[in-house]
Amino acid sequence: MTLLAAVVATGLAMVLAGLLEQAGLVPLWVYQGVLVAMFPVFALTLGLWWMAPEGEEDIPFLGY
Amino acid sequence: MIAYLLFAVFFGLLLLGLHRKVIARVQRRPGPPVWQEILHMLKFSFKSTWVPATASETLFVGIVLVAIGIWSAALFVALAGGSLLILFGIYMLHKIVEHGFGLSSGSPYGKFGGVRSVISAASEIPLFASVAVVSMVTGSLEISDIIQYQAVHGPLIAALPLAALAMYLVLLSKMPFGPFSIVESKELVSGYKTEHFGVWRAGLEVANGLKTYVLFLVFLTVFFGQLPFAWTLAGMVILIISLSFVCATTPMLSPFDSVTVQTIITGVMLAYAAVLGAFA
Repeated sequence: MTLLAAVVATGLAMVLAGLLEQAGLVPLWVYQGVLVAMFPVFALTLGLWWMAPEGEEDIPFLGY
Repeated sequence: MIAYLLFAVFFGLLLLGLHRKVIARVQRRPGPPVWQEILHMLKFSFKSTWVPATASETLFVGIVLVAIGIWSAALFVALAGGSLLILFGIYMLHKIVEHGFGLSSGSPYGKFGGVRSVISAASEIPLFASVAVVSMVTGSLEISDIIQYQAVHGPLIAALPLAALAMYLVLLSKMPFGPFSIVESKELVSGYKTEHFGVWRAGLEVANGLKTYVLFLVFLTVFFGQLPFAWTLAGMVILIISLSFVCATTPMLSPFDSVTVQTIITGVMLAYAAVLGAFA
């Protein structure tokens, strides 16, 4: 649940920063700064939330 | 911007997949599908993941965040036409990232990979020399100024082919399976990334995709000027195919030979810069 909250929070922060930048309320570099800070956390927490729980089979992927 | 960031990740990984495919075809193997690296990233994302008992937990996890963060920043600097010096700094940070990946794991393979990443810092010296030459001719280190210069005087690849060649060798040194890829050579299993599995490896794949995209983008912008988007992507594909041919047909050098060759290239580049300076 903590991981899902982190995914949602970082994802929302990135989208919100994008909207604020488009509305002209924050400069571009602030938006980019938010992306640099949030994107790595978003990517990792998304994977950790998604990952197969220990003790169970991995989820087969269609690409293989 | 976030769409572009995601595009850069996936296109960079597609380029790395194409790299593997071309190497395989040159070596008369079927090879993996070109989207293999994208599949890797997705697959690793839902593998069961933990931190090894021998690892430094903070560094082991934190270094993955740093890897993605620095190449995201590099992408924005490149797109904004910022200074090549900042990109240099990020390129140097990547050395520290590789080192951190290797040393954080507690694995001897990872540690050797990390140590080799420091040794292979020789690969950055041709980059310094190449950019010094570009700066001498254009009078600026700002990518936007270099683009302006090329709009007036034509692409720098025609005026400075040796500088382009030196930077091409820097790209080559960053390619997997290349002659200078000593940080992840097979005698070290996967080198600095041996112990980063599951989600940590997926994060590393994201950073690798971004890194490939940014390095190619900077090469094309510095030596060919501002190209239309489709031409930029086509240029990246041509670059990766040419690099793949080199990787497929050359053996991996020993760490000593790798450093020696790169030092010789740097010497040639410095002599080239001196000649350009003398006749400027």
